[in-house]
Amino acid sequence: MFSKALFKQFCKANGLMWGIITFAVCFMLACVMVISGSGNISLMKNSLEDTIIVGEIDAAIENRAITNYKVTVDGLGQFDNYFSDNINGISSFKFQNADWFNNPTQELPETENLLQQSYLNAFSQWKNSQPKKDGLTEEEYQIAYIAWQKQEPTATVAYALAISQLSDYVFEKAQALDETITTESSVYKEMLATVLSSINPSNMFDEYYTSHNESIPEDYDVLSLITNISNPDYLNSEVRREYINKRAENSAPIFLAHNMTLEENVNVMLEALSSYGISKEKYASFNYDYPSLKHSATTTILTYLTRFEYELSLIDASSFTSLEEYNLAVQEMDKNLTGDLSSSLLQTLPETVASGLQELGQMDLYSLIVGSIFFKMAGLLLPIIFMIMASNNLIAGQVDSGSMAYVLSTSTKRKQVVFTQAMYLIISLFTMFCCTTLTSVICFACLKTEVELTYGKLVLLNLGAFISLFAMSGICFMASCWFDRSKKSMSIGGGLSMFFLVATMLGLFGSKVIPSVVRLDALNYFNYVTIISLFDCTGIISGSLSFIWKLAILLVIGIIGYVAGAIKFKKKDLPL
Amino acid sequence: MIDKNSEDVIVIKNLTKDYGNGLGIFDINLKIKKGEMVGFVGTNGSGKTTTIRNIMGYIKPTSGEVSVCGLESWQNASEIAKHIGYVPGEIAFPDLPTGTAFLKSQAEFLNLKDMSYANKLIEKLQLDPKANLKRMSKGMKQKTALVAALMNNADILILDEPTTGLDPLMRVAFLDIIKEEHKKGKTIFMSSHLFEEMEKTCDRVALINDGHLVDVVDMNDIRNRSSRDFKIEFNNTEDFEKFKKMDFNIIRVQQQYNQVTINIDNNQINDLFKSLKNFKVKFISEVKYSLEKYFKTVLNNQTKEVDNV
Repeated sequence: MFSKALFKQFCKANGLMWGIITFAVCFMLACVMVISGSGNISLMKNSLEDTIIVGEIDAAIENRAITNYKVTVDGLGQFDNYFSDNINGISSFKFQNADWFNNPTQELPETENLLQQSYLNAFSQWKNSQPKKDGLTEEEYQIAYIAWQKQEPTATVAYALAISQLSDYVFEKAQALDETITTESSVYKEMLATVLSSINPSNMFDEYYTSHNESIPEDYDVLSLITNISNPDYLNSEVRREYINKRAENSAPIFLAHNMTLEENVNVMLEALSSYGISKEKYASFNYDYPSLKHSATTTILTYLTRFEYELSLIDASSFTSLEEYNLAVQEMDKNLTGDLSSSLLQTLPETVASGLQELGQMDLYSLIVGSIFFKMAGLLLPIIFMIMASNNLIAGQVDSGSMAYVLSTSTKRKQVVFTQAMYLIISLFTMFCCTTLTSVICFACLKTEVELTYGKLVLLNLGAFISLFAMSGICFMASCWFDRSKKSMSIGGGLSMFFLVATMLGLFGSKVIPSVVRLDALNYFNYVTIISLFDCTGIISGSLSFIWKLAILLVIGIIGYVAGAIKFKKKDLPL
Repeated sequence: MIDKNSEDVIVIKNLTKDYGNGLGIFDINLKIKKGEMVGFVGTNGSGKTTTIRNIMGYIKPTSGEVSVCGLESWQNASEIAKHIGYVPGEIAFPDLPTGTAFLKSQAEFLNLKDMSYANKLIEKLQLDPKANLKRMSKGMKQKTALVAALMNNADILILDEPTTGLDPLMRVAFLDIIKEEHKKGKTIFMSSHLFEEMEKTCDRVALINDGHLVDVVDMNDIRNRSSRDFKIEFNNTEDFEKFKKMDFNIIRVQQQYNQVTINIDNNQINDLFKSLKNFKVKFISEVKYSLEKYFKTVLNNQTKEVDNV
């Protein structure tokens, strides 16, 4: 069956080409494995990942800053309303029961609501604490009396109640955002704290300011509200608005920065980020400390305000028929603006890109490069070229030139010839991949970074590449046996093999191993027209067993090619 | 089994290989006896190479069969190859560096250990086998191919246009070697489109035209014809006219030159010279009867027949 002389002749004829190509492939493989394993790739990947994550956090902070600011402004305005209403309520209550208030008796006046009730209680207490003249000089009494007078509870009650009303308001607002929110929800608590920290009732929130050496703001100005109580326009006046805005501008960033540096909140954040591989140390390296957070929040709010003013000036009030429409337009603009400023990197990119970047964070670049890119494409190219040339030289080339006559005229059977040539092709390819296996194992042993790949998988990758090549060499060998002209054998066998390879390359850009940012789904169709797709690199690397039957198909294709070629060669007319 | 002692070494029986469009060979019958040297002539594309490929068993006959030493060629190509030294028409060597490497590789195929005969041949042919195979001239390649065919001392030699492309001196040397092999008792079948070399070397010559075997002629019949042709030119017209009236078999007359061509039996030649004594002869020369001429006559007759039908 086997002709040693013929085999020897071919080793001599193609040995050099085999050697050069094997060396080139091994060299390429070593370069790929060493370079991609040297850690540069993971560094690159990490920095890319970090950029995305930092962008995400920044966006979240900016978003939060604006929201906080808006909630605060809204809350303060609402507080003013409540407070003024309460003052008015108390005044009218006092006015209605003027007799009783001037001369309180045991018989309490009827109360209609909580406001009146609280005031009545407070008033009674206050009245009871009125300083007695006995034991005091006139002067002392006067001082005590004035002090007592100042403690008249109208403002206090109105203030306290307004605070509680404000809490309800914020709760309602929170619920409008999300129905599941309860009074225990952190969202609600945070919203309320934002507003209250700005008002800072009875210095409850001093800690927010003192812990970072910020000056404690003056008490919230309710005096102007009282003095202007008769002026209903005051609440919406420029002056008051200015005051509220300034107050919010000051407090919102401080609250945010304080809140985000609290340890418990940082822990929550770390937990959310842990899926992207962000450790505590890494988060610290992002440098989200108090000053930078405060600065960032302040800048964002300022930007927002400036932009808001500008955008507002762009909306032409006269073009709207009703005030409602105008307000709607303003709201729309505000929404867009908020979105614009706080939109994260991932939100501004299309959704597919966003998920792609997320994939990028999760994929194993090393396995992708070694598996799908090297063994499925780059590493196949040179062996395919060798295989095309060798398979053509083995049969069709010799028949075409006529040199096959010298072999056949020496009583070597055709069966022997075709068997020897097939063996030569298979053995030369096999030894080639033994060399790459050896190279890859050595390179892998030198690798220090941790990857999904193992020695077993590496050997399987080499075996897979060999079997793919075996299948294609079967096709080429058949073409070589079938045609008398190398032209035809080359263009059909070689053309088909190259087509498979090129289709694999194009198909890679559409396949799932490529992050969706650079993936072109339309190219995925190429994966259905190339037999190299049956070499399931991702399957081998991920450890599933589906690659086995696919390789079996390739093996069968190859065997069919060789057998069909051999039969054809035995039966055909040779122009020698 | 191979029958080495059979009288007919190569038997071609009703061999047809039809390539369609009138191409191919049709109904060829030829027997080559042991020790015989048979030439095979025909124009380019007339089917010589196809016939030889059939003999070698490289192609399968459409019908009919070829047997070598009693073995059917197509089925037993590898068996009969042992007894044949073959020089293909198109010389293309395997992808090997030098002539020596090629010959060594061939020896390995043939299981030939002793290279002394090959070396003798190389010497005789003045071949430099160390030369690069690809850069060899046509003549060098032919010589190398001949050495490869001869070196295992096969009983049968099949040569497909071995002298094409060789210079006249080389051709003579080449043919000398073949003749020598012939003398050793080898059976030789050689194709060519040159009649001359066939004439000189072969025992028998077969003519193929358009795929049909037209005629097989024994060279002895041509060499030893019983009659000869002479062309005679006379100095004056009177002699010429007078000679015409004499009792010779005149096959051609050229009035303007006063020339006649006569065919005369060998034993009548003396009579001719006696007659010519009385004439003023400008020149007399024998018109050689060549193989080419013979085949031309045969082919002409054939076309005439076809025309008449």
